[in-house]
Amino acid sequence: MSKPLLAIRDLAVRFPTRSETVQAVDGVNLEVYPGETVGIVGESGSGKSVTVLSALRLLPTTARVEISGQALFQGRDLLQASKRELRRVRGRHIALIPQDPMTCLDPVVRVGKQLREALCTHAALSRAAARRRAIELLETVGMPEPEQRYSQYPYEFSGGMRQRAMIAMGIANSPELLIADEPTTALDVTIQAQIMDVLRAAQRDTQAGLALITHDLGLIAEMADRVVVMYAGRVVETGDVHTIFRAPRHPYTYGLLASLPQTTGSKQQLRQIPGNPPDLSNVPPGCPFHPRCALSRGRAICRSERPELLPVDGAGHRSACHFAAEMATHAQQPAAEQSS
Amino acid sequence: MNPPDESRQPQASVAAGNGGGMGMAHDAGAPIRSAGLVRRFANNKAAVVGLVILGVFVFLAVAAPLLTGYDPTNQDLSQAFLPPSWQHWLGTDNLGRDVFARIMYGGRYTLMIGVIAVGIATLIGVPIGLASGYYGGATDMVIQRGADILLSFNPFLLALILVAALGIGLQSVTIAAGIGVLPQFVRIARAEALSIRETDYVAAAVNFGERSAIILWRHVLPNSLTPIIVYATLNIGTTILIAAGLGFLGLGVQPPTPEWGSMLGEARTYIFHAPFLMTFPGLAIFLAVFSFNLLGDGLRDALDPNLRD
Repeated sequence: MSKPLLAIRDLAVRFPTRSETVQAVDGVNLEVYPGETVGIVGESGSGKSVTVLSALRLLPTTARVEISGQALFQGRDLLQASKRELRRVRGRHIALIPQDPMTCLDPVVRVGKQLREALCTHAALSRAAARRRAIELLETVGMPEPEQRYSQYPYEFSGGMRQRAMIAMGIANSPELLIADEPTTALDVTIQAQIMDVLRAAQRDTQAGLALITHDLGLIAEMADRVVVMYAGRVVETGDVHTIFRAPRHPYTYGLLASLPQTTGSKQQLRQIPGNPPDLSNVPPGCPFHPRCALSRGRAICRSERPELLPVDGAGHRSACHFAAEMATHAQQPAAEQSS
Repeated sequence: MNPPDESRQPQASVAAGNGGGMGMAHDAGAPIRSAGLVRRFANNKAAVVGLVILGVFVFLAVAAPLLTGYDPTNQDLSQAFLPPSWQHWLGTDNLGRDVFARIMYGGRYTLMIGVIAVGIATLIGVPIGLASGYYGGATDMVIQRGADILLSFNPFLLALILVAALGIGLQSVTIAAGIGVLPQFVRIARAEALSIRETDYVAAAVNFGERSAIILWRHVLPNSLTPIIVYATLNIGTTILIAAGLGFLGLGVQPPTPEWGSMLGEARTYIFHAPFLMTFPGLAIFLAVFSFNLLGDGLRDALDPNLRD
């Protein structure tokens, strides 16, 4: 395989407060290769956004953060990069597509001007050329009447159109890596599919790697090539999308898939994973998932020893469970692949 | 706030975009459109009263030579201390100068001092405050401690100290009044920058690799303008008072220039002999400050999306 575009190595992120320390990310390894889509899934607070944002050093400046590990982008460690280098990378080589498009456009600046800004930050373009390119971009993301839209203000845009505009800004400089942080959670379900199409087309056109952060398994099934499942700031399972959906080897992944609502067959109660994700300032010892785990059933090793992310059958399939092997023999088939 | 219309169809949205007015009234983030602004402002009676008073003062100041034949500095001791009459509407002062003419011409100085002083405070204070709030850290610390020191003085006292340093005269009074209110502009701009710094669109601009200076200029400044405009309008009243106070103490604009504060100061000697000499300049100062206060309040109401309709 070619060299990874982004390689996160042993990333740990802590938010120290006066009374306790929140371990938001704990020893995460993650790669994104050119052209592929990596889906990062997990519950709220599992550390999926923090992993990516801290790798790009985009956490809020007001937060006190301790970061260790490496975030290698094309071989350069972003965590060691100067502000100037970072600025050159952001937007030019790595673009972040935000979660909430409603608030990400400056309300007092015309959309076209904001697009021009995104273009001109990294390239010397004349105003007219930037305008032409901006309208082209709006067209690319499927904006109806791009010429008119160009000179409108964000309040004249619907949520879906704003997200299209954000994607247009994201791909303005043909970045090698796109990071989409729950790009559709703030949108209507009917708009979601359109936005994902736009994102997919944009990725195809630019040949960019895409890191898709979401808690929507349907989205993952549809978009991702590889999946990284996170729990309590750690990667618990990773593998290609088919393997993960057909034969999960971690009870958490299994639980997630099993709790997807079924639209076929007889009506039944929605399944859930019992309990809540752990308090990140006080993660249980051993496997962080053991208090909620159906497989653990009080086994001592789950409480005492932290499971490593080890290879299980199949290429690149890894699971951080002491009893990953057991799961295979159980041959439990969860909800199988569902597409939204 | 109402969410924007998700179901808006492309065809319909073009019309909605051109029609503008309806949609924007409901969107907090909508840029201020003059049509809606004027309408909201016109509905506010107090604000209109303020604007009318101010309009009258401006008109009197500008058209003074056409409205009166009297020269504001022309002395005629035989006509001193005349009470208001048809000849001299507001009477004459101790040197026989027509008070009405002096108030009309004096408006030129008073209004000019007020506007220019606030202009100084805005142009210097706002950039400092925005940078302070946006960059934070040591920059913020140094600037805010400086502002603390200045804020520990009453604006008038600060202006007084500055006049002591700069000397007496129109120019130094204007500068002193401006610097007197400057620290508050630093504070207000900083507060705006602090909140705008945390918005998603600033975060997005950082994501796209923009420079801080450009973000400040293109995003932070335009989004913080509304409260700054309101605050500046309200502060024109304050600077007028400061200038008038300095004039009253004899530290402001020097005679024979007809400035309201110094007119008041000169008239003080004759308070029992000719009380009208103090009444009219005092009334003029009161009305001018009052009009700016009404205007500022009206602007705030018209510009504040949370108070609309």
